[in-house]
Amino acid sequence: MLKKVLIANRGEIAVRIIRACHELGLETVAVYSEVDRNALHVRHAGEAYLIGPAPAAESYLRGDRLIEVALRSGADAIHPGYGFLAERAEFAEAVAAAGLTFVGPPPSAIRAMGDKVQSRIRMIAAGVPLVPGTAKGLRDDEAVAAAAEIGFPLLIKASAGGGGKGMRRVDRPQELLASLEAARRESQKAFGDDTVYLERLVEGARHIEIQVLADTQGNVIHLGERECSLQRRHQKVLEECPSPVMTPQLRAAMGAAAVAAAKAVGYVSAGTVEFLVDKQFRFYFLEMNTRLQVEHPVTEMVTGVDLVKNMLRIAGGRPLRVRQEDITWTGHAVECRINAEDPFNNYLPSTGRITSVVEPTGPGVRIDSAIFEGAEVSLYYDPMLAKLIVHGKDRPEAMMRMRRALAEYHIAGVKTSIPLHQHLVNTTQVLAGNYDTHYLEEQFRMERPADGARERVAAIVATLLAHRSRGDVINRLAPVGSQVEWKLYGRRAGLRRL
Amino acid sequence: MKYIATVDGTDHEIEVDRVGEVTLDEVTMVTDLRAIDGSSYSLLLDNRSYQVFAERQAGRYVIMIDGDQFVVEVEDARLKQLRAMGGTAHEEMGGASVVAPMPGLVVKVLVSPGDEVEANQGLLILEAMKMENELRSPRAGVVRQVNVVPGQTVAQGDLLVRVEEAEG
Repeated sequence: MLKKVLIANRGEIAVRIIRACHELGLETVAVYSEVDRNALHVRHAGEAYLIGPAPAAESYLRGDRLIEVALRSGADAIHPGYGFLAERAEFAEAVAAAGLTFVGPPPSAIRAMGDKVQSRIRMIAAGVPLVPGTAKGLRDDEAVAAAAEIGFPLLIKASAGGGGKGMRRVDRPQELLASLEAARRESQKAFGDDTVYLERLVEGARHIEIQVLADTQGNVIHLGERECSLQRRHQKVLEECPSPVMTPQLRAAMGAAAVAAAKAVGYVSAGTVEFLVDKQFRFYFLEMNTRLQVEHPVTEMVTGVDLVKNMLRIAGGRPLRVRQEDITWTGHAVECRINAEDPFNNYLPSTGRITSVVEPTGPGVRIDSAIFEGAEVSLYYDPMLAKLIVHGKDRPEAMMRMRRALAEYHIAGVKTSIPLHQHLVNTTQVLAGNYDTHYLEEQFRMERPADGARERVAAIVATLLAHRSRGDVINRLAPVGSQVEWKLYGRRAGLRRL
Repeated sequence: MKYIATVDGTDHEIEVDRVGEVTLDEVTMVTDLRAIDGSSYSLLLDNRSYQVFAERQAGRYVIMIDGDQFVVEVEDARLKQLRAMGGTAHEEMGGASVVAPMPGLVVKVLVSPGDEVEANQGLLILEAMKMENELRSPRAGVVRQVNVVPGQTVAQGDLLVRVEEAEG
């Protein structure tokens, strides 16, 4: 078993992993950039080392420094979390070459699944169903020819992609070239690789993914699905388990396909196989994320299996303690990703200092967060501040619990997506589970009940506060330094005389 | 004392008579608003309890109730009347400036000076927080000024593009 783990990440996921380590009696080593000295992961960890300036390329992406710190601190393993170096096969190789354990899959599995073109070939061989599309990186002229065969609408995807970067929907042939250019540019910037491929767009599809766990003894099990169809710009917004459309038969079939996918690449550790599910409940392999997922808590809440602890045990060479037949799904879990963005202003990123945080508590509420009063939200890293997860005995209870928890949640200092989530879980279609991957962007509107009850309460609160600081308010009404102030003064004086 | 509170474009006339009572839409209610901590308030409105978070931002109040957000502008009713008499002559007419809503990197400039643009037409792409954000024209008109080039880093509030009314 491992003794000391370096967590090569920051934010809520670093805190999550540190917690799992401590519960397993493992020592922890945090790393931090110059702007993260006060971060929660630094304070929770047993040890912490500075690794460089704020930009990730000079700190959290510096694999050489991470390995050096691991060796210096006597760590025997590195957990990459998600993002940053989690899916870089070269990093996993360098970790192993330094005599350390990488808490994740073998480099060969990362490489096999990381190249979307290669992974398709492997999946076809393993009998995993796929969406029709091209099978290799394309030149623009080849793409035009292939697009005519696949038909529109279609998707352009980056070979090295993930998280929606470099992905573009194309509705008409005449848009293809411009979209190819944009996709290549985004991909080049995000991954240093502008290879793309095309895929038929399955309309009205849901994004449902299957969690797998595989040990070094060759045991592979699945832990059921996560419904991730509520997305914006291909970023997941709200996830739930079980999926509202899941049946035991579909889960068994998708689970078996996910296990086959994992086995086909010799997978070890926790991983996620993403599928598109169409209206006829046919499912198609999208990609495999060879790491811990942001939304892993919903699976943990419903199955009772701690995925991070399992990753650590597996990395220590231990066999899985649970068999497929031990996995059961109890109740319902929902996760809301709380981002620093303004849902009332085109989701523009919001930065600044967090001035206060009030977190929901009570039955069935879990928060995986890294924010605190005084925390700086910068443009350097991911805008996700926290994840709010609730568990209930069934879906209605979980949804009502999420409403209740969101009502309690308050973060001041930056704009957050809390209002977006509150609107979502108050929307008929979401409550009915009747949504696909386009629902949030194309149909969902932030609309309020017509009674205007809360608007009136807001008006009263603001008025009372304005009344309390009345002199202040009156002085601010006129633009400072303009003639208007004097004119107003004159008119006001005139009124007084009346 | 009478106020006009504007929420989502709707005006509410609210009278604060004396400490503890407000009148809204001719209904008088007993209020008890207590500051709890920082931006956290507890409101009892005819004994209905509300947990509220309120902040003053740029002269407006941002109010959070039940996880939803409301932006409220409050004006002294009498002053609002006066301003209405004064007209809008001091407002800038005809043009619109597009400023950087956040610090970021200009990825692509989609227009040049002299271009005619529609309202909501994309003007440039700004990358911030690892996402590309398209900044759009707030109005139809002619691009008069483009102050940035691709690859340029901009600070929040920097003037990027100016769009003015088309002549004739």
